[in-house]
Amino acid sequence: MAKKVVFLLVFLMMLALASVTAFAAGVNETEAGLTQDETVAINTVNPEEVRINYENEYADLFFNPDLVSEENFLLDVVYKRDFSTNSQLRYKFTGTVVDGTVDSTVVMMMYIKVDGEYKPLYCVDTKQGELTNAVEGSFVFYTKAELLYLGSDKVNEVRFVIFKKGEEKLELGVNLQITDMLIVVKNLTPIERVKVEFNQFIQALPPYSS
Amino acid sequence: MSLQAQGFPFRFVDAIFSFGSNTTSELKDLSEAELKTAKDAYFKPDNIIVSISLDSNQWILPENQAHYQSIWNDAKQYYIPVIYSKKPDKILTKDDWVLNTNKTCTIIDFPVLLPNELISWFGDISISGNYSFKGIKSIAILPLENVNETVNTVYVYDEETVHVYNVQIDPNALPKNFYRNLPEALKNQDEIISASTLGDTFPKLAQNPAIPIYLDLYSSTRMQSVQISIPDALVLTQEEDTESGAEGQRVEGIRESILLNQRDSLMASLSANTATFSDTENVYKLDASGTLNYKYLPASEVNEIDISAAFIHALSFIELRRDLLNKVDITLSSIKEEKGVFTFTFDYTLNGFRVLVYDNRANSTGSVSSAITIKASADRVLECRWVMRRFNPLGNYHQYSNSFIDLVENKIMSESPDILRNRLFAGIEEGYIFDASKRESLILYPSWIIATSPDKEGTQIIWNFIPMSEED
Repeated sequence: MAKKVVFLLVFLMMLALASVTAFAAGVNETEAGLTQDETVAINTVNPEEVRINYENEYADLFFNPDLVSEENFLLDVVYKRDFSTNSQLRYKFTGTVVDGTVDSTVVMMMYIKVDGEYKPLYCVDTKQGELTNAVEGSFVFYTKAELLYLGSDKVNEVRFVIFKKGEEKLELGVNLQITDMLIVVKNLTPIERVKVEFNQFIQALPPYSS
Repeated sequence: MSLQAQGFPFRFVDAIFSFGSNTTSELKDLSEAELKTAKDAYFKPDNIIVSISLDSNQWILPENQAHYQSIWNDAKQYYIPVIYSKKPDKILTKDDWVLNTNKTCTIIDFPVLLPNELISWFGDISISGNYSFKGIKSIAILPLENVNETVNTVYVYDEETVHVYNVQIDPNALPKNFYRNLPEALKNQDEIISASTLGDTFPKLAQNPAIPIYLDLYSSTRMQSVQISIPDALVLTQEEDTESGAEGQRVEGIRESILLNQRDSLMASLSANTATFSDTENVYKLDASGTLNYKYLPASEVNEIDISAAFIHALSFIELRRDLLNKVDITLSSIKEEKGVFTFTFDYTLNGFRVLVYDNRANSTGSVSSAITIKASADRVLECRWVMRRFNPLGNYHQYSNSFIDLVENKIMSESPDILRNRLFAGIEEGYIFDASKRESLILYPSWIIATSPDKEGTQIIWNFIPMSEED
C-alpha cells in the first residue's frame, strides 16, 4: 500500500512539474496535449501552481507598488461594469494586444490590493469553472471578475501584470507591463436602482400580445 | 415572417402590374389583407435591441423571440403614428442618441433610413407637417426618462438629429412596466446572451464602434446550412444543345419566369452564355451565372418624385418573380435618391441572417453586394440587377459559435491572421456568402462576414469570409 501511495505522489509531482514547465517555457498547446478550445485560458495547466511559481520568482517586480509601466506596450486594458448579472461588483475586462501576432502569446494576471497587499483577483464564469487570476491571448482578451469594494469611499486598486509567454526573464518595460487601475464602484442612483433592482422579485415576463 | 410562407398574391399583382402604365393608383386593386402582407414583409426592423445604461450590455432580440413581435407591433401601432402627429418636445444632436449615451431603452433599428413618405405608405399613417426629421433610422423607447407612469419618452433618430417626444401610453399598448422590466427579464433568462459593442470593449480595433459583439467564449447562435442553385427555368443551355429542341423549351421557360406579361412581345436572342429579350423599350439579359439585368431603354423624364410609387414598382418587380427563389426572405437594405430616381437594394435573408453576394468579376479584390439592385422612378422600374438563386435550407439547425473572442483568437489567428494586420473592423456579421460567378449548385454554411479597413475613415474596405465553428 505504501508503495502505491509513494508512486501516486511521485506521479502527481511529475505531472505538476511537467505542466508548469510547459507553460513557463512557452511550449505550444498542441505539444502540451491541449485541445484548441483550451488555448484561450491559461488555467488549463494547474493555474494556481503556475501563479504561485511566477509570484515566487517575480514577487519583487509584481508587487512593488512603485513599479508601474509608463505606457501600454504589450496590452491595452479596458474595463466595464457588467450589468448582465445582479452583482454590482461584477466587471468585464477586455484587452487588445499591442502588435499581436500568431507566434506570440501574452499573459495577463490580475491582482487587487487588500489591506496594502496584492491578492489574486480571480476570474469568474470561466468555461471550465476553475480558479485562476490569469488569461492569455495572442490578440484579444476577455474575462470577468468580482471587485471587492462598493461605494465612492472605497477604491478598488487593481493591478494587471502582463508579460509575454515563454520569456526566460521578465523585465519591466522590456517584456513585462504592469498597469494599475483605480476603480470606484458607485452605488446606484435611485433611477439606476430602479433599473437594476426594481424587479428583483419578478420572474421573466410572459410574452405580451397585442 | 416570409412572404413565401404566407403566399404572395401573384395573380392580383399580376393583374394590376404592367410596366407601361403602372401608377400608385393601381394599388387600390389589392385587397387590404394582401397589401398588408406585402407591407409587413418589407416593413420590419433589422434589429430590436434592449440596451441597459451605464455600460455596454445589449440584448439583440431575434425575430422569433417572444418579445420581438410585441415590441414591433407596439411601435407600429402606438408610437410611430404619434410622432408624426405632434411636435417634438425637444431636438438633440446625434451625439445624444441613446447608443452614444448608454441610456436604458428599447431600440427599434431599421436596416436603412426610411423616408417619411415610405413609412406613411408602409404603416398607413397620415403624416402632418409637424415632423421635421428626414426619416427614421431608429426609434428608442425610454421608460425611465419620464416619471409619469402613463408616459414613455421616445427618441427618433434620423442619423443627423434626435427628436424627443413624450408619448401618452395608449390604454391598449404595452404598459410602461413592460419596457422598464425588460432588461431584468432578459437578464434572468439564458436564451439570449447580452452583447457589447466593439467600440466599448476593443476601441483600438474599431473602425465602426457600434458593431455588436458577443464576448463570452461559449456564446453561440442557431443556424442551418442551405443549398442554392440557379432556378431550373433560368439555366441556360450548353452550346452543343442550342440547335436542339431543348433551346426552344429553355426560351419558353425563361419567358414564362422572367418576362411575365411581356413574354409574347419581346424578341429573343440566345448564346451559350446569355439570353437576351428585347423590344424598343425593354431589354432583359440573363447570363449563365443566373444574373438578370433589366433596362428600360427610353430616356425617362422624371415628372414626379414619389418614393412610395417607386418602391411599389420595385416591390412588384421582385414579388412577381419570387416563386423562383423558394424558401428565402427579402429585406430592403438601402435607398438612394438622385433627381427623382430611387435606387433600392434588397438582400436575401435566411432566418434573419443575410445572404450576401461576392463578385470579383469587376475587380480583382472583389466586392460584396446585395442580391438585388433596382432603380425606379414614380412611373416605372428603370433598371434591375438581380443575382437569382433558389434556396433549399438543409436539415436541422446547429449551434455555431458567435463569440468574438473565439473568432479572433481561434479562427482568425489560425486561418487568416492577415485580417488583423494594420486593419480595423468596419463590420462583423454572421450570415452566408456566395460567389455570383459560380453556376453550379452550392451548399452555403454559416460564415463570418468581416469588413476591415486600413484607415479610421473606412474609405477602403477589405472583405473576409471565415466559416463559423459548429459547436459539439
